[in-house]
This record gives sequence, structure tokens and C-alpha cells, in this order.
Amino acid sequence: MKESDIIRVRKRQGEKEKYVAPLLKGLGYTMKKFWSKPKTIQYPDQKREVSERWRGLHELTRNEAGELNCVACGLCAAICPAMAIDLTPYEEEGGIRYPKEFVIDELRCIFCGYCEEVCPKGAIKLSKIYDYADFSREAFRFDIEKLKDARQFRFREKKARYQYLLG
Amino acid sequence: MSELLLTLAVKSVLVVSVCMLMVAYLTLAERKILGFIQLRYGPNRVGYWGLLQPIADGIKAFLKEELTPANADRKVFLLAPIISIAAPMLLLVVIPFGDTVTLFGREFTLYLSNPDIGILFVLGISTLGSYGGVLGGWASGNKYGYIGGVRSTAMMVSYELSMAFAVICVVLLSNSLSLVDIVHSQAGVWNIFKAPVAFLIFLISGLAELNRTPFDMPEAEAELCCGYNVEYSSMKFALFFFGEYTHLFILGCLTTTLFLGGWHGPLLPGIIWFFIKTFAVIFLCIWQRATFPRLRWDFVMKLEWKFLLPLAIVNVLATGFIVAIF
Amino acid sequence: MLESMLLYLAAALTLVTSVMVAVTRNTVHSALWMVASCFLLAVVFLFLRLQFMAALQVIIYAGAVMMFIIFAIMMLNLRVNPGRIQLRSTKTAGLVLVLFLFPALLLLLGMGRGIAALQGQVSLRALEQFGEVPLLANVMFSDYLLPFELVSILLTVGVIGAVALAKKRKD
Repeated sequence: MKESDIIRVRKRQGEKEKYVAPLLKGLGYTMKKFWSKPKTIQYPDQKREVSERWRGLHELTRNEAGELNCVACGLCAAICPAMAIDLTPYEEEGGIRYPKEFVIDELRCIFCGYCEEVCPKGAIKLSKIYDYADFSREAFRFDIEKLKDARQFRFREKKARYQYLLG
Repeated sequence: MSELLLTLAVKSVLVVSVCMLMVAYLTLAERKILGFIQLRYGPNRVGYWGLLQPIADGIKAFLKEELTPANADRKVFLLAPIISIAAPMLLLVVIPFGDTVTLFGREFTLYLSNPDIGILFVLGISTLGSYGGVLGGWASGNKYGYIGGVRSTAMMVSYELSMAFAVICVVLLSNSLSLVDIVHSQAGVWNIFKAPVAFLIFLISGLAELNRTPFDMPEAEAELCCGYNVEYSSMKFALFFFGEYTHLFILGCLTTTLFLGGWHGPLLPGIIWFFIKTFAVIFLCIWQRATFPRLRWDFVMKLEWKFLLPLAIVNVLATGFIVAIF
Repeated sequence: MLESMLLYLAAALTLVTSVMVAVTRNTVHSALWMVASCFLLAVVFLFLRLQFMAALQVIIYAGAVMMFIIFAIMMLNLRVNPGRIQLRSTKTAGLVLVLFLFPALLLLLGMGRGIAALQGQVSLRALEQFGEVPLLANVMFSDYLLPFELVSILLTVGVIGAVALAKKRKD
């Protein structure tokens, strides 16, 4: 806050009591603000740019061939303070491990980011999507398929046709 | 005779419907202006630029459940919103929106009626209108409503005085009680330049009578959680709300008529000047609402009895002397 | 014809509301009937071509005075009148008063004395000739100047007395 933004209400010591001038000053200030641009972000239409380090919905990263980077080591499930991660490992012959099931309960998750930090393969990432909404609790249990790409869950306002007419 | 009745009927319907539409959009205007001052947009989701918001609000009010508290006084509970909407609407009868226009080769006056006692009619009816808030607060059987009602009576009794004194100044200057004659007398110089103090007193006590911030004692959100209308819901609440905005509109019209020269103005036709001035006054009311914090209850009374009223009396005496000398 | 019918209607309603003031037990309802009565009296004044008087009736009685009374009722929280016994005694007293006052008024009206509007300065012809406000002002500030000033002194005394009573003692 700049010094010029502060409106002094109480008189300073030794100052004479003023009545009308402060009122006019207040009116002038609000008039100035009336002509300045609103700072509101029009939410479903515009979205706030979040920080690079924002911790949103999880994603499981994949390599060029489209396979999961995850080796189902279980470190993320172990460190998760909310116990939101369920995974069942599967080991092929020849020692290739991958998760048979990988479920993150996004309602349990506290978005601390430990899973991302602990992962030795960089296989789990927290995206910047923060406004997923759905109707059932079941929908928030993200399996491998849903964890593929978080961007599809970005909230978009679904408008009925009459709403387009009204603007 | 029947022709006269027909013109009167058509004019009444026109005045009521046009003014009520304006009042409905006044709610949107207030929310928009407050929004822009607070660096927000205000309502803008219903219709382009939020233009259908008042209609949506109206429909919502109709669809809401109507509640009557168990220990409410049912008849008075019903009567209160009716009074608070009927009184300001009745005042539309005497507001002179313009002089005369010639349509279809005949002259029409742009006001419904011009009684000789116009300004007294306005004062009387607006006093009766404030019974709405008082009775609403009392009949709810709710302590907050009750306190709101008591405050409403005290406000009414005090601020009516200084308002009447401010009006007396105008009457002295214009030498008539009729609103049309008062406007005619301002053809040269507007009354605001002749009696600026009376203008300020009128505006301040008008705001107090409207229960608007910074004088919204009867419905102080913070202390009384909306005061006299706390138990009202649905259309009854909407009537209170609507009555308040109609009253604001009337205050704008009256200030224009008494102090800002009514329909007088260069170039544009009179009725457009009238509405420009009216909305300028209304904008001033909304603007100051966004600026000033609410006064404490005892300060409101102090302001009236120790400052405005003596000032108003001295002002009347001074105006009387000046009018008598010149 | 229509006008006189409306006048009688307004007058009858004034009477009915006045009776309701006395009969209603809820104090606020009673005060409301009084407001209605004052308002209807103003309507009667309007039919008698006394616009100014009607306006004053509404502003002062229906507006300010009744507002004060309602303020007092609400401040003291008087919800319902005291019991029935007390009411019955006042009822008889009231009945006796009415029985004396009403014939007296009728007598005065019949003899054409005391009611200024019948023969005095505020006649219909004078109203049309001078207008209401000049006529009233003329009468009040010439013939009745002394009573007028005395009444204002009485009111001032009342105000000063009220302030003196309400003021806190220093000791």
C-alpha cells in the first residue's frame, strides 16, 4: 500500500478539527475509483494465472512410446500424509514393473506435493488445474485413465442455448 | 368530461409504468455504480451488461416462499409493505415532469395534477409513507425489527423538521406552494444558487428520511441485521425494497423541482432536462453511499437537533429578511 | 351530488375509525385507527375546499403527532390495554360525556353560533375570492393575533418544561 492510498480519518496531534474538507476528499477518492478499471477476474470466462509451482490435479507422465514412467515402487503411497494413493504393482517377467491399478482420491488429497517430490522417476506431477467439479464422490477417484491428462478437467461453463441469446 | 377522464387515465398509466420501469432499473444502476466504485463490475451475468437483472430479481421475489412469523401481528404485517410502496407512488401524481406539449393538435400538461398545495401534499404523504417501516418493524414481533421501527419513528420526527424548513425557504423565494409555479419561478435563476444552504439541508434530511446510508439507522445491517424488514420475505420484502427505490426516485424529482429548475434548460426538450437532473441527484445519492460510513445513532440525532435544525431556522429567517427587503 | 355523497362517506368513515380508536384494545392498533381517522378528516377538509387545512391535518396530526405517540407506545412497550374492569368504568364515563357533548354540539350547529365556517370569514365565497392561504393568514395575523401568540408561548413553555424534566441533574 502506497502512502497516497491511505485516507487519514483521525486528526494528527495539534491539528484543527475538520468537517467538510475530509468529506469532499472522500467523495473525490470514490469518484476517481469509479472511473478506474475494475480488478475483478470474470471467473468462468477469464481465469487467474496461477504460479508455476501451483499444486493442482495429479497427472501421470508418460514416455515417448506412451507408456507410464511409473515403476510402481510405492514411495508416493507411503509418503502420502492423507493416504490418498492406492496402487497395485504388477511385475512382468524380465523385471519390468508397472502399476496395475493407480487410484488417487482427489477428495482425500491435501495437495502437499510430497508424491511429486519423492518420485524417483518423475512419474507423478501436479498440474495447474484447480477447478474440477463433479456430481459424485466416485468421480473424484482418479484412475490411470483419468490421470492421463488433467487439462481436460479444466472447468468450462456449459451454457444452454437461451443463455447465448441473453449474452 | 369523458375525454378528460380518458387523458387522465392514459397519463396515469404512462407515468406509473415509465416511472416504475425507471425505478426497477435504479436497483441495477445502484448496484452497478457501487460495483464500479469498489473496483467490481456489479451484476453482469443476466442479459447483456446485466440488463435483465431487475426482471430476474422480480421473478425470484415472486417464486420465494412467503413467511409470516408466529408472533407477528398479521394484519399490520400485511399493511406495512403496502403503505411503504403506495405512498411514494402516490407522490408521482404531483411531480411536474415537464411543462406542456402539443400532440395531435392539442395541448397536454406533462404532469398529472397541479394542486395549489403541491409541496405540502408531498410532505404529508411522505410522512405517511414512513409508517410502512415503523409498522413493519413493530408487527414482525422481532426485537431487531422493533428497534428498527423505533429508530424509524425517531428519525422521521426529527428530520421532517429540517426538511420542512428547507422547503419553506423555497416557498418564500418562489412565493407559491404549487410545484409547477415553483418551477416557473426558476426560469431565470435556479433556486440552488439563491438558497444553497437550503439545498444541502434538503438533501441531507431527504437522505435521512429515505433511510439511506449514512443514515440507514432503521435497517442497519451490522447492528440490526436489516432492521424493520428482517422478517419479511418474498414479494412483501420486494415491496419494501421497491418502495425505498421509488422514494429515492421521488427525492431526485423533488430536488430537481425545488432547487434545480425543473424542466428548464437550454437546447434539449424540458422532460429530458428533468430526467438528466433527476438522475444526477440520484447518482449523487449513490455516490455518497459508496463513500461515507454509517453514523452512530446518537450522532445522527446530534446532527439533526444541534446542527441542521438551528441552521435551517436561521436560514429561513435570513431568507425571509432578504425576500422582505428586496 | 357525487361529491356530497363522497363527503358523507368520508365523514361516516371518520366516525367509524374514531369509534375504533376507543374500542380497540391493542394500543398500536388503536393509534393506527387514530391515524386513519386523522387522514379521513383531511379528506373531509378537502371536500370542504380547505386544501391547506387538509395538508396541515395530514402533516401535523397524521404524520408528526401520531408518529410521536407511536414512538412513545413502542418505547414503553404498551402492547395491550389494561384489564376489563377499568375499561368498564371509563366506558360509562365516556357514555355520559358523549350524551352531554353531542346535544350541545347539535344545539350550537342549529343556532348557527360558534362554528365560524357557517357564517364567519372563511365562507365559500371568500375562499373563491381570496384563496385559502391568504384568507387564513389574514384572519390569523389580524383578528386572532393575540390568541395565536399566546398559544405559541404556551407551546414554548411546554417545550422548555419537557427539556427541564428530561435533563440530568448535575449533582
